[in-house]
Amino acid sequence: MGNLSKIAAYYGKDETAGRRDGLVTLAVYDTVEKDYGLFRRGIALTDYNYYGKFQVAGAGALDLINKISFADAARVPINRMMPSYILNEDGSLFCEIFIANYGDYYQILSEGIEPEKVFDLLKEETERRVPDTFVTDQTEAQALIGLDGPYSWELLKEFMGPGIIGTRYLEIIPDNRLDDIPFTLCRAGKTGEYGYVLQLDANQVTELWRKLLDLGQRFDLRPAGYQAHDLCRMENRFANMHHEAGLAKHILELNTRVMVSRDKDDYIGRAAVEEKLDNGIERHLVGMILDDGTDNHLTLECGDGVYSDDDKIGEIANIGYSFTLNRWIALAFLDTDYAYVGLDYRFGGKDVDLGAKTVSAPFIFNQSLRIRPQEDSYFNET
Amino acid sequence: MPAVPTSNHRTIAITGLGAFCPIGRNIDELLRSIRLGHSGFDIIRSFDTERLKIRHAAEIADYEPLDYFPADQAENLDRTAQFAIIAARQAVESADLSAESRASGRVALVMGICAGGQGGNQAVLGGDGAWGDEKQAQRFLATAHYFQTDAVASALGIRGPGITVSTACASSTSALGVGFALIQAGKADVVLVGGADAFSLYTYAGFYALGAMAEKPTSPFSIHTGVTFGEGAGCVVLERLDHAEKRRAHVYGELLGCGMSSDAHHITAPHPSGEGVHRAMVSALQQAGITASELGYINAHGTGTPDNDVAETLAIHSLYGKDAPIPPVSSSKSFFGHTLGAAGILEFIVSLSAMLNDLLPPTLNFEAPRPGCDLDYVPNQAREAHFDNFISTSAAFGGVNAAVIGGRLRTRPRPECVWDDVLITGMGLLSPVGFGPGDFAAALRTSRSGVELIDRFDCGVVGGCHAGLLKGFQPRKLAPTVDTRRMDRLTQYAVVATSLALRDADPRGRLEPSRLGLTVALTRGPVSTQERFLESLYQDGIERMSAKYFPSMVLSTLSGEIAQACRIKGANLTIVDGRTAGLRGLLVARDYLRQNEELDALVVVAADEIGALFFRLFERLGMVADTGVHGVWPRPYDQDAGGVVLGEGAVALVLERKAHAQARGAQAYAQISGCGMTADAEPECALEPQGHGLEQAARLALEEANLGVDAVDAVYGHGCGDPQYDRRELQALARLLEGRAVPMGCVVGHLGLAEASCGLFSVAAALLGMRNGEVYPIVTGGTLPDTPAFAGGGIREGHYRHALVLGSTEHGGNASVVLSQIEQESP
Repeated sequence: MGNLSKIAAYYGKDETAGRRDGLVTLAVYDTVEKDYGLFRRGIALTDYNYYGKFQVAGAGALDLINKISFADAARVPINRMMPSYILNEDGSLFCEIFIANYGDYYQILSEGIEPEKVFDLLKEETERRVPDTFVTDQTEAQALIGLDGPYSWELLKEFMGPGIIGTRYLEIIPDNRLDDIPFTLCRAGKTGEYGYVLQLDANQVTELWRKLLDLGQRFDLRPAGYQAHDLCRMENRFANMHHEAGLAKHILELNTRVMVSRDKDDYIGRAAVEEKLDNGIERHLVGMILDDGTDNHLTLECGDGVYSDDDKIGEIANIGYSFTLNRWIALAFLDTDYAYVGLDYRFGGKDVDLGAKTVSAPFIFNQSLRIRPQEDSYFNET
Repeated sequence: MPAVPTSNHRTIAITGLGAFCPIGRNIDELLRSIRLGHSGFDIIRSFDTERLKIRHAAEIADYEPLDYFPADQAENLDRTAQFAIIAARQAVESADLSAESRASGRVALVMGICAGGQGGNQAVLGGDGAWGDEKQAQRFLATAHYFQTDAVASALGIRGPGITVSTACASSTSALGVGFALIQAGKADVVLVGGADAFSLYTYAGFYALGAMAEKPTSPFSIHTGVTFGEGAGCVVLERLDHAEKRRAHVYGELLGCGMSSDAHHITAPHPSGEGVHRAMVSALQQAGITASELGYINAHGTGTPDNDVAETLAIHSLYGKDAPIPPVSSSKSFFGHTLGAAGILEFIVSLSAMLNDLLPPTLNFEAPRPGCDLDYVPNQAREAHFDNFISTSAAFGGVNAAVIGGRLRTRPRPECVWDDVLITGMGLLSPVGFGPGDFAAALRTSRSGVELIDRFDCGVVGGCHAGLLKGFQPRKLAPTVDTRRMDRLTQYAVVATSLALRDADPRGRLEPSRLGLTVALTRGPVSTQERFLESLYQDGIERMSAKYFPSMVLSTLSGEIAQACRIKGANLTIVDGRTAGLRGLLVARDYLRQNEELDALVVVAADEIGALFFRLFERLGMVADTGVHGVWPRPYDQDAGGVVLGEGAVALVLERKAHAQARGAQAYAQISGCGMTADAEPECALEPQGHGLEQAARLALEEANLGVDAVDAVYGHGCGDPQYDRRELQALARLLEGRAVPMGCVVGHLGLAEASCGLFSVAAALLGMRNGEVYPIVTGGTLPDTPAFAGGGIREGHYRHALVLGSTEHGGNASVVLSQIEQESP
């Protein structure tokens, strides 16, 4: 079945497990809807151990990272992270990454591909182009778990103090402890709600997991699986290598949260990116909401067509049911000429003909945007 | 004076008080209003608000300048300066400080000014951006923050150090901290600490655009949110206790401690948890040597805005934890509004006066507590209470926080503190001749000038105008980790220079942010933003003007941007002064760092930008050389020079406590071994023409460094093509050096006169010169006098152990620093 996450092993629940980047972990803890409810209205405890974790140090560290990453890592301040991608030479996506700057070294967190493939790439580039660099695979030695949800800050405040509420997105706070367990905290959620990633020694992850569940009891904290997390990512248009981003032919098709540094030196896929910047992209990823009243038992799949009248103008890249909107939503690659917001198209598949409208990102208004941590509380709201 | 003067802090007595504000024109009236709950709010009278939804403010009603000043002063002094002088006079009188003592050089003046002068709240520019009316141009020039302080010094004849602090709403709270540090450092026996701001159309318009004001008079911590503005001034006399006892001065109380911090979170909103305010409070308590449980009253910043009031409440909760009782908290802004530069000092005076009368000041207009506000805010009615100590807090734009603790005079000894020498361990330079120390030194060696034709705007002169401009400035290349896209030009300069300096001092980013402080030195601030703000106001009117430019009008916003971008969370100060302001900032920063072991290091940064608004202003007033007549290059020390050639740029220096620098193996440029500050304090802020004050500043610096004049190996001055100013400096040097042929440098010829940063450019040149064994040749388009021994014609090579840098503002604020090569300690 593959490597088993320490968290999945802790539960012993293989019927809710799934494989992500070669690691068996929690796909659904309760039901997708209940797991989703935690992300959107409470606090979810998530297993991110499928991330690849790599320390990059030495005089050539920045150079190496810049040679492989899409973003310009020189722009990452100390104790901050930056989301980015590693591309293939043709401009499609190899994987998603976070680049974290810890001052003495960088760390890459990868998602969307087996970590060993990322490590192989890093080793190859080190040997080939940037010898004065030391790459350490921390994937097994380090663990990542997440706290996501509109009140996740409030649980953290219980043991980290009130200063946590001012943590900026993508900020890293090193040197924390819960009892005798040290961890590094990053505010790096991908759901559009308050979200934090805790990184620690893998040998202590189940203990931390248990302590958080104990502490979080009064917040109704429970684990949540990656399926509900993926749904939240889709609603907030965080590109997902496990779904639409993995189907993109070129990074520029993703149409959101992608900024290109044209004065950056060479990196993998640069030529393909520059070519599309000069000549244009053929299709764009666009969000769509299916017409109200669409049957819950939808049979649409990724790859099914999107039509304007009788013309096929695109295909579905991701589809899911939004429990906030109570509607089906989708992400579709549409031909550039049709990739605008506010237009009515149709989805077609086997025995399917459904209306849908293109919409801007994100799909929903997040509960977290209504919350002022200085004043609000899970206990006042519930 | 020894390098490490004392281990115990001196007791700082409060021997004089003065207040002039909407609820009282003196201390007695102020206290009476507090006791009776009489606020100063009314419909705004100074400009028309009939169509606007915000109509209230706390103005000083029926104020008649002729009641306090002769006609010429009433005409020429800005309203802010007038208020400041009135309050200072009261304080001086209540302290019984004679004119002789004020002129002794041992009495200093520190003022907190936020908005600056008011300028009459009138449109000043013609439709084409030209300054048609010279009087109006003079009036606008006189709105500068430091003009208000200099006016007080001039009016009261105060010849000791004069410092203008502009940390927005925390200005006069921070000023108390600066005054405290001055006495501890032995630079003064007495310090007048004040704050002032007149109600200003610009402030009103800016906050109106931000949507931050209350439609009814402010009710801090209560359900209706929003700030209401006021005006006024306050002043206290701080005095070393033994000095006060010797002259049998009445002692009102004691200034126990001050704390400052930076949120490094947001340029206008406070850190939501109040953690920055909390750190400032903790720091003040540590300095005071008392615990939070010994505080009987908290005078909160309490502006009435949703973000501030909750954050401050959280900060207070953090201070006391879950179980300890929290003393009553109230906001004096409910009485006289937010008086900006005067806020801190007036609130301190309210707290002190109330303590001495066993009174708890109330929070007026309090209906019901706002969500998140759950303390005892002494609603609406003053209460009797006896307490011995209080704390007053302020939180400003830019995330700058300050807290001061006052109390009854006590007899127990002050807590010990560890003094240390200060080294310069990092340098960041953005100059018209190059970026970074290497480029800068190379340009100085080859006498390259950065002065060129201004292409940024039409200066209105046939043939064009020249200035020292930064060319090829690409912030992303120089400081790639800083997002400068939404910053104005001046802020970019300052942020990048700071980033470069920190990278020079600490390439691995190991300096702990909460132990790293910041001092920003400015003269004009972000001039291009000011111009856009004024344009927006006059073209669009108050109701439709953009909110975009106003935050940058507040000088501490720049320090907040630097703090945020460069992760600086320690004490944060903005010093404003005229020419060579950077030098003054360096001196204030050094004395603060020496005695505050809560900091390991402190960055001093000065910055200037060339913009149309002030260029045309100076040109209209005849201050700028006509380069078509006098030549392109500046003519320092040339008595036939026709004025200055302006420049821009930024310099940042990292100052570090010696033990910390040595422990981490830092490479230092030099040690700051002595500092001296004086003020001419001449009538109408004129320069004393012989330069005796400047000479005295240099002598004080040498005395602190334990050096005779014969130990000085190099001198750097600030000749700039202003004949009177330059002649004065030469006369001071002639008396000081007594004919010794000490090589003298001046970088104004290379760079133009960057008003604030020229002082630090000179320090940078001195540091690089000492390191490289050089004094750099002066560049001039004119003629140099025979003495002193100007470095002209080529580099003067040699071994330079001690360099003296000195300079004055255009009003005779004099500063001098001695830089010394670091002695290698024997094993």
